[in-house]
Amino acid sequence: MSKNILVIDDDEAVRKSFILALEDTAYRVETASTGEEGLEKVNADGYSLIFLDLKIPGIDGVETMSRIRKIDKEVKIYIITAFYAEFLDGLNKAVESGLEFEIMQKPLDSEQILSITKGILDGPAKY
Amino acid sequence: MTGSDGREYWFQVIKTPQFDVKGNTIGLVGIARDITGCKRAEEKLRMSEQKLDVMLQSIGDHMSMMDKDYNIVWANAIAKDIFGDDIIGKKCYRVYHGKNEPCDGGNCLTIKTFRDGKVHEHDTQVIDRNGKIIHFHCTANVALKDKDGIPTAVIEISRDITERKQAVEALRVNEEKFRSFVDTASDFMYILDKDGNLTDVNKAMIKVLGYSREELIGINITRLLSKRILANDFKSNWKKFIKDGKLNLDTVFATKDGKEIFGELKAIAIYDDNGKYAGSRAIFYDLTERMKGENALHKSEKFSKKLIESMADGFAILDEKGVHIDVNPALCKMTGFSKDELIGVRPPHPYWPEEEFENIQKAFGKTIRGEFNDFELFFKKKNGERFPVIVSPSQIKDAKGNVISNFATVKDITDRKEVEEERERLYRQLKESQAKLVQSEKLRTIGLMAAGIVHELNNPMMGMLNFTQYCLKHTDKDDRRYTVLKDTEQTIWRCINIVKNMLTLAYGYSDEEFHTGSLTNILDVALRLLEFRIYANNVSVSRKIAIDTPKIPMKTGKIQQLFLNIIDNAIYALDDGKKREMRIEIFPNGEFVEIAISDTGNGIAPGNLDKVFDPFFTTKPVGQGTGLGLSICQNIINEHNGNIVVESEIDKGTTFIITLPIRLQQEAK
Repeated sequence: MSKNILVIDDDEAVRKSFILALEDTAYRVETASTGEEGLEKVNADGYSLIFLDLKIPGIDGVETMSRIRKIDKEVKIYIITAFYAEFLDGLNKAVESGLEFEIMQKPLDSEQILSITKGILDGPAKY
Repeated sequence: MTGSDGREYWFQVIKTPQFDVKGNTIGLVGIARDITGCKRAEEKLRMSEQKLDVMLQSIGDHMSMMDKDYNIVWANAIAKDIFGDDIIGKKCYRVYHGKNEPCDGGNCLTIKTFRDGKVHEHDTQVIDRNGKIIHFHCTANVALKDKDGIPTAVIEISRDITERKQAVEALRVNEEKFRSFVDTASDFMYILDKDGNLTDVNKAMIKVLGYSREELIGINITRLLSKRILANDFKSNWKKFIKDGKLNLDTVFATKDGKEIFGELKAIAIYDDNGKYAGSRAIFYDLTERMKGENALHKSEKFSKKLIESMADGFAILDEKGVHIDVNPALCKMTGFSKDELIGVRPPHPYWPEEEFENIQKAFGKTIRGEFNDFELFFKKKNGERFPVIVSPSQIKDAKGNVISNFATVKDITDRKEVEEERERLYRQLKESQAKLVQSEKLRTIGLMAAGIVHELNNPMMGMLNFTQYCLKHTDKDDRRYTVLKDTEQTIWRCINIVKNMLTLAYGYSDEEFHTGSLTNILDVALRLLEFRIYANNVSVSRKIAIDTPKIPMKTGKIQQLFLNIIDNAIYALDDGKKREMRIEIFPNGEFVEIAISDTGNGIAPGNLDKVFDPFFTTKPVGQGTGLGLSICQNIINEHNGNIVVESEIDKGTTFIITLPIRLQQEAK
C-alpha cells in the first residue's frame, strides 16, 4: 500500500496541521483546498488515505466523497468534520448508500492524525 | 178577700212558716179555704179570729197592723219583742223610725198599700227599742177593708235581714279589697269561660297588653298568646289542662303592638255540677325582664356548649394541674383517644409525644402564669402517628382574679403544613423553571449566535494545536520552552473544549425540521464520530438493534446530538470503570421506539439522579463539561414528545432509556 495521503480542506491551518503531524514519517502528504482540486489530484495520482472536510467551497465533502468513490473504490476516506447539522442528512444518505468512509471530529491533534494514519496504512493494530 | 168579680169571699187561711237550714224563716206557706158559702156563727168567727191571732203570733217574722191614721192596731209577739210591749196604739212612724211625722209616701209601704190596695215590699231600716238599727225586708198588704173595699188596715210582715245585709256588705268590702288586690297585682289574672274567652281581666293585663278592658272581655285567650307559642304546643297543653284541671306552663303573650311577654302561667279549671269543664281562672307571672337576662345566659351557655361540641378544632378544659375536665369530640377524633381515655387524665396526656414533653410543659407553665401565646408543636395519635398542631391556651378568672378554668384550643395543621410545603415546592419549581426558561432562552440565543463563529474557530484551533505539538516534538524536554509549549498545548485544549461545548449548545437549541430517518444510521454515524475515543478508552461497544425497528420522524441533527451526548457521557463514566462495556439497544415497543444505552461505569450517586437533567449540573472537573449535555438531551426528547429516564446503581452502571413516538403526534415545539 502506497504511503500517499491527500488532505482536502479549505483551511490552511488544517492542511498544515496534517503536514506537520506527518513530517518525518514515511507518509507523503498532499493537500487540496477544494473538492474539485482534490478530485483532480485523485484522478492524477493514487492515494491510500484521504482526509476530507465536509464544509468546503464548491462541491461539498459528501459530494466529493461519492465522486472519489467513483474513481477509487479502495481508498480509505476519513471525513474530518466539526459536525455540521447541515451535512448530517448527506452523511446519513452516504451511510445508507453504503459508501465506505470513516468519520472523525475536528479538531484532531498530531497524535490522533498519526494514529489514524498508521492504523489505516500500517494495519489495524493500533491507533 | 175581694174576688175578681168584686164580691167578698171568706177564706179560712192556714199559713206555715218555711225555714232555711240555718233556721231563718224564708217564707210562709198559706192554705186558704173558701168559707164564704158557710153561714158561720159569730162565735165561730170569733174563734177563728182567735185561732188566726194565735197563728199569727206564732210566726217568726215581725208582723204589725196599722189603721189609716198609722196607729199600730195589732202586733205580734216578735214585733213587741223588738219594739216594746207598749207599741199598740202608737204611731208606726214613731215606733219604727223614731219620727214625729208620717213617712214620705214614696217610701212607706203602708202608705202605698192604703193608697192602691196592692202588695208592696222593700228593704228598710228600723230602730229597735234599744235604738239599734235593724234591717228589715218588709211586705205590706191590705188587712181590712170597709164595705166599699177601701183598705182600713194594712198589715206589714217584716223579716230582720240585718245579718244578711251585713254579710252582703262584708262580701262587698271583701270583693272590693280583693278587686283592688287583683288590680294592683303586676301579674295577669283572668277568668275564661269554657270556650277560652275572657270574662274578666285585671288591670295589669290591660296595662301590659295594651288593650282596653272592653277589647279584652269576650276575646279568646289564644288571640293574646304569641303566635310562636300557639304554633308549638298550646293545643296539646290545652287538652291536658281540661283533663288535669290545672296547668303550669311557660308561655308567651303578645301585646297589642306585637311585643312578646314571657312568663309562667298557672291556671285552674272550673267545672260545673256535672263535672263538665266550665272555664278557668289563671295567673300569669310576667317574667319578661328576668327572662331577658336568663334567656340570654341560657342561650349563650347552650350556644357555647354547642359551639364547642361542633368545633372542628379540638377543645379541652383543664384544671390548674392540667387534668382534663372536658374535651370535645374534635379533640378525640384528632388524637384517636376516646373521651373516657382523656377526661380525668393528668399530664403527660396520652397525645403528647415524648419528644415534645419539655415544650408542652414549658408552654403549659407559661399559660398558668397567664401568658397566652399560641404554640406550634406535634401531637401524637393513639396509633403513634405525629401530626402538627397549634395550641391556643386561655383562662377564665373570677372577679378576684382566681383562675376558674383553663382552656386550650387545638388546631390540626397537617393540611396547612402540607399546603405550605406544596406551595413552597411549587414556588421553588416555578422559580426553577423560570430560571431555566430564562437560562435556556439565553443559551438558545448564545448558542445560535455562537454557532457560526465557533465553527470557524474549529479549524484555527486544530492548526494551533498541531503547530504547538510540532514545536513540542522538536523541542528538547529540558528546554524551558518545552514547558511553555506544553502550557500552550494545554490552553489550546481548553479552548477546544469551550468551542465543543458551544457547539453542543448551538445544536441543542437550533431549529430543525422533522424528517423520517433511521435511528440505526444515526447511531452508526455517532459511533463513528466517537470511534477514536471509544478505542482510545478501550471501551467495548455492543449493539443490538431489532430488525423491525421502523424509521421514525425526527430532527435528525438533534437525535444525532442526543446519541453523541449520551454515548460521550457513557465513555466518560467508563473512564474509571473496571469493566468498560457499553450496550446499546434499539427496539420497537408499541407506539414507540425504545433506545437503551447502558454502561458499566461507576454509576450516578442517588442524590444526583434527579439532577442530571438540570442545566449546568455536572460532576466533571471545571472546563471539561458545561453541564448542559443531558439538559439538551431532555430538550431534544421533549421536542419529539418522547421520554427519557435514567436508572443507575453505584459501581454497577447507568442506563438511559429513551422512548420516541413512531408517529408524529403533533407539531412539536
